[in-house]
Amino acid sequence: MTQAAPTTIPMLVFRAGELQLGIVAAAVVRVSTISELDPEATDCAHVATLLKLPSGDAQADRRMMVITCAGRTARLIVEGPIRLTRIGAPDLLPLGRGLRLPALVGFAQQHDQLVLLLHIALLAQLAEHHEAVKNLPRLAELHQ
Amino acid sequence: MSDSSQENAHLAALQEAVSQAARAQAAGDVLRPATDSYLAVRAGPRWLALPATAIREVVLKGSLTRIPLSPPHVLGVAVIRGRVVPVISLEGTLGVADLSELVPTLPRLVVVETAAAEIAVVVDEVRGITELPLTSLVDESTGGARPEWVAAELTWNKRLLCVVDVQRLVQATMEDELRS
Repeated sequence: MTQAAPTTIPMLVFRAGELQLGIVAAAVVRVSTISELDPEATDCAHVATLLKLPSGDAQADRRMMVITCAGRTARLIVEGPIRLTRIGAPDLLPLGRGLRLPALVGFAQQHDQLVLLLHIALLAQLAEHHEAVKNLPRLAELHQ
Repeated sequence: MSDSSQENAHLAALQEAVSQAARAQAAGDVLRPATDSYLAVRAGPRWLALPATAIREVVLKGSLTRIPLSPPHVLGVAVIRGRVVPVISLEGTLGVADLSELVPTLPRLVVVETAAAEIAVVVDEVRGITELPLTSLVDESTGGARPEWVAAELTWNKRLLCVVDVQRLVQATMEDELRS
């Protein structure tokens, strides 16, 4: 018996400042609340920093998201509220000719709002790189 | 050359052109210099001429959505007739303006297209279609540095008008997107 292709894909939609960003739900391992004192959170990059986007204010509802893709696991800070939604072909917007989007796989429109669908492999790579750079001084200390 | 002698030279040239036209008309040969249509727009302090054949439409600037890892001259994307189109600031490509100041006040998007891509250019003012005689597209620039997408600079209505090479503009924009 053949299985029909899914008509919609579950996505987690979160915020970075004014923007709504979407990520394939299957790539998300864990989402947790964070506090300023959380040592794990201090090493994590904000998704807005990774993608060179404006982030929300300090009062924003921040969470830590752990994502995995192609054997890479990375942590990043996102802004809530986070919602689970399903995105299907009718939600996707056609791209203008020649539009190149290095960090996106496309755009969806839901409830009159544009959702930027993130390229999960690139995001994981950026987050991993950020964390590695941040940990370099600690590694240097260990070698001394 | 002094101002008055320059004016006299211009007047003499104009007089010659008028009498030449009159002679041609009298001979039944109406002078119709070859022209090209351009859309005259203002972006910041600059006046620009965009080839009319490359223009898809002019729309009011609605809300823009920023996109990740884009160079500073890409202000974001706009949804125009259901399609996602990148929005470009010409001032930004020149690196002369504080874009955070410019963005909220700019009211029009001129959508231009080539075989390779389409982009929306932010402008402050649209003056309408103007016919520029091909002979007038002689570069009057004084030799200063200018972006590669400016094909020529000429005087139009006592202003400096930059004639835009849309192919090069799109190419430069796309190259920058790739580099980012």
